[in-house]
Amino acid sequence: MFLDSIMTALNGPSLAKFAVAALSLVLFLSLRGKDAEGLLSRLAFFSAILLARDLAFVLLPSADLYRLSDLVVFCLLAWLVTAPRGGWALWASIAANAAVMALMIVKLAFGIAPGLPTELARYFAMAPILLIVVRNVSREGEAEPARKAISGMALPIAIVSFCYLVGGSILGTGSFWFHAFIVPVFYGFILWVAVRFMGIAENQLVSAVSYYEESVDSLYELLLPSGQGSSGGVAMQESLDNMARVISERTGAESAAILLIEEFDEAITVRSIHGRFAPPFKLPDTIPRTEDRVNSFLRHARFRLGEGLLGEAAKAGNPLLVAEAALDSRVARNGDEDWLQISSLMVVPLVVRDRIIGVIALERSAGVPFSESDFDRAKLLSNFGSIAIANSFSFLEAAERSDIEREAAIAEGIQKTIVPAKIQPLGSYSIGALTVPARGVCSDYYDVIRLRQDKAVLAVGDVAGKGVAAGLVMVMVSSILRLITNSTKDMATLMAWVNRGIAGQVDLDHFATLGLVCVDAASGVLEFSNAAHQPLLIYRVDSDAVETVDIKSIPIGVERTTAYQDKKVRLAPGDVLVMHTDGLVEAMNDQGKQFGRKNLAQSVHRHHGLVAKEMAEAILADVQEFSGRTRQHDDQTILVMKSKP
Amino acid sequence: MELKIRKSGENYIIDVNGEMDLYNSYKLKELVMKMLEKKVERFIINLENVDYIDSSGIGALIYICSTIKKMNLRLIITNIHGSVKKVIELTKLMGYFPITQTIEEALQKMEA
Amino acid sequence: MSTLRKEEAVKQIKVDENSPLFDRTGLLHKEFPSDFRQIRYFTLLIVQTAPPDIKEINLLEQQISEIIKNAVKHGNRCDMEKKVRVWYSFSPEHAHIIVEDEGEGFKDLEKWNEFNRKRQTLLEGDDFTALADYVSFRGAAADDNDGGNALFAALEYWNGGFVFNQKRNAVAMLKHFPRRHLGVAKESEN
Repeated sequence: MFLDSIMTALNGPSLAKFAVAALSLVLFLSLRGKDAEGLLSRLAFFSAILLARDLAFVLLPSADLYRLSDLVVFCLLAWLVTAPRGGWALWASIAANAAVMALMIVKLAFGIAPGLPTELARYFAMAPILLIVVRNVSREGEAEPARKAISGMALPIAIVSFCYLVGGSILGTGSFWFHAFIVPVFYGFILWVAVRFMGIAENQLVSAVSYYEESVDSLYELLLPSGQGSSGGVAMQESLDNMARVISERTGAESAAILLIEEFDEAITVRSIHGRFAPPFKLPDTIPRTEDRVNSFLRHARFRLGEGLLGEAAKAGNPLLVAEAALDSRVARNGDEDWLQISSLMVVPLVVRDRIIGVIALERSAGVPFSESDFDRAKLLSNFGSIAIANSFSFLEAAERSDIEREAAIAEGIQKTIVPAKIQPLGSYSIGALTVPARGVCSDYYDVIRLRQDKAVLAVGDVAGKGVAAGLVMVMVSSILRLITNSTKDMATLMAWVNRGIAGQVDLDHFATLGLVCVDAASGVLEFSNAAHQPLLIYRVDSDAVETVDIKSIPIGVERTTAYQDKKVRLAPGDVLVMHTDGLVEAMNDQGKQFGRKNLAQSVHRHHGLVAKEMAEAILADVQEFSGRTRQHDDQTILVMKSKP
Repeated sequence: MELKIRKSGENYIIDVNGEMDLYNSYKLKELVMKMLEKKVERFIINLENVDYIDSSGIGALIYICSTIKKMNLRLIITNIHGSVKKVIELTKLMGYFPITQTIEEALQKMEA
Repeated sequence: MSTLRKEEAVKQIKVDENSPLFDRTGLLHKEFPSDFRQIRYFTLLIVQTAPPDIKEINLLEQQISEIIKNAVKHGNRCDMEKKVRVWYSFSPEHAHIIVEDEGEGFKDLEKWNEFNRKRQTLLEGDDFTALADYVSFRGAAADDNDGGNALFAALEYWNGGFVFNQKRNAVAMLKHFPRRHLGVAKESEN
């Protein structure tokens, strides 16, 4: 029977209104998922209410009830349009309607106050509509476009609603024309408003998407390194310049400046300028207002953190938008020249993981001020740019570190190559030599250059400096020595030649100490020359004592024309010659005491009975025992030559 | 330290190669004095290949700078970098010396 | 290594016999003859033990060479018989040096301080014309080869202190190297 009523109704005048209501419901329900704000859900709900009350009317064709349901409908409509900010006015009018409705229900159900016309309900229904109109007149300044659109339609909604109510009044709520015509038109109008609103929201979404697409484009341009193939600092400068340019262009700024916090200081300096950047800080009066001088001053400008507009931003890390710079006292006015004008300014700190690394300042000299969306764009790009800069720094640091390690490794390699691995005995003399390099130093050198079966030149030296530079000098000294020792010249001359060979080289740390001893194993004669190197120590079997042989001199590489001296000594059978470098005698223990020459002499004395190689090892062991765990700061080298007893 | 001279228009560019230290800074002074005697009026001292300078080197530059200023001639120092720049900053002479980043800038300034 | 509070804006050379900067414990030590020709060599010997990070290419070497030069040239008057004694220590965070000569001491110290004060004032006022007379300090024994600007830089560079002993023939200095950092920490809001 219920179904019959429905079918009859559908076949009659109510078809239109059912169609519209059902259509709306279906539409809003199916699109519900698209709408984050829940407006479509609310519209679906509203459509459902309309459909429900019309269905109810089919079953209970009471004009009174239909009128009462209008109260509900209009409250809902008001809520839809003003939500979520209806406020107390909305609730007041809903409350009023509810009160009237309650009153009417009571009247109808219990027959009280028969004089009260149910028509009254109809006019109370207008209250929420009036509310909408009033509220939306006062919503002129609504920023959000969708809401603005709804507000714009408040008046039409009110007018159509009013027509609906008046129509109902004139034609009668039960009349054919009311349900066949007025109601569907009313529903249709609401549908149209809702669809329009959705259209506007859609547009908003589209424009937001295109804004973000543009932002992604900017990011791409920002991060694409323009300095392909340039290294280190140059690449960094190019990144900064690129960043200044891109952020300027993408925010519509005319000029920009990037300042970075100094690596070792609490100050910021200008690192990149794009366009004609006018200083936003007060220029000293002594600087002439020419573009040249101002630019030059700007390039060397330096601010402590917290000092001035820029220093303040660098310290606090808060982005700043000064839309109308002319009205803001923080921005300095430095002159009337047009390139000194600042009409709008943005200062955005560059922050990476809660560390402020600098700021970027963007300017317009005239025209439209920076907008919020320009500001947002600037902040977005700066965030990404900061990451790029921070990465560059990390990369530089890592490169430097690995450079240093590599240098140390190369130096070690050079030293290992130059220094002889095994030393054959010289006639009846045995030779043992050892070097213990200190980490990253590798500047000690020794060699045994054989001239004949029983004649050789012993060389021990210490190149000043360390790393590859020292290694190069070592190679030069070694090469020169190997070339010239074949001559019959004396050691002093050889030393002078080596000196001339490495002195006067441009840009090289080319100093070294060097001790040369020419050994004639057959006769036991030693010829010794010294260039500021440690003296010879000779253990004498005769006196059972260690004597020192020294020549005062200056290192090689200092002056091209230095004259060196030589001395001759004779080794008796059983005597021991020891050459060493200063790293040995200057080895420190944890009390800050140096090993010293005395200890060395004692050590030589103690171990004189050992074979050359073992003696060298024993002496070094003594030094090691003395130093304990104190870190070794210089190479330790020892060369022992023992004459067969 | 090596000194080379080249010309660009009326500007004489002195390329300094090596280190300006207490042993060789006098050479630059002497060279500039000689050039002044020969009536050179525009000097550009290019420190691109200088990566070490000490107080004697700075002193030489000061001497050259003040002499040229007194004679109302023109001097520009260019391409300072690394520790050379740091030393000039430590002595607070960045504003005292006429400095440009590149030779091109220096040449432009000379014309102005 | 002595940990010393960083002195803000060291603007004058102090005389303080009892300064902790003169504490030689734990410092390495070398002695040199006062040979003018070897000044850079001596400097190199000292600096070669410094970690690479603090060398700032060769700035550390240059600063130390100035002090050694003063000791050799002005302190000991290049007398080969007289020694220059150096105590030093380095770490990635500091450089500490004491240089002592056998001379009669830095007599013009007060004059120098006054000269420097004047120079600072002129610098603050950006007065470059008047500054021209204050870029180079000429002591009594200065010659053409002296730049006269080494100590200006030294006061800026040695940020942990730069003091002479009572006799003014020994000078001690300290530089703090802040840990290399990227930027500064953002202060937490409110």
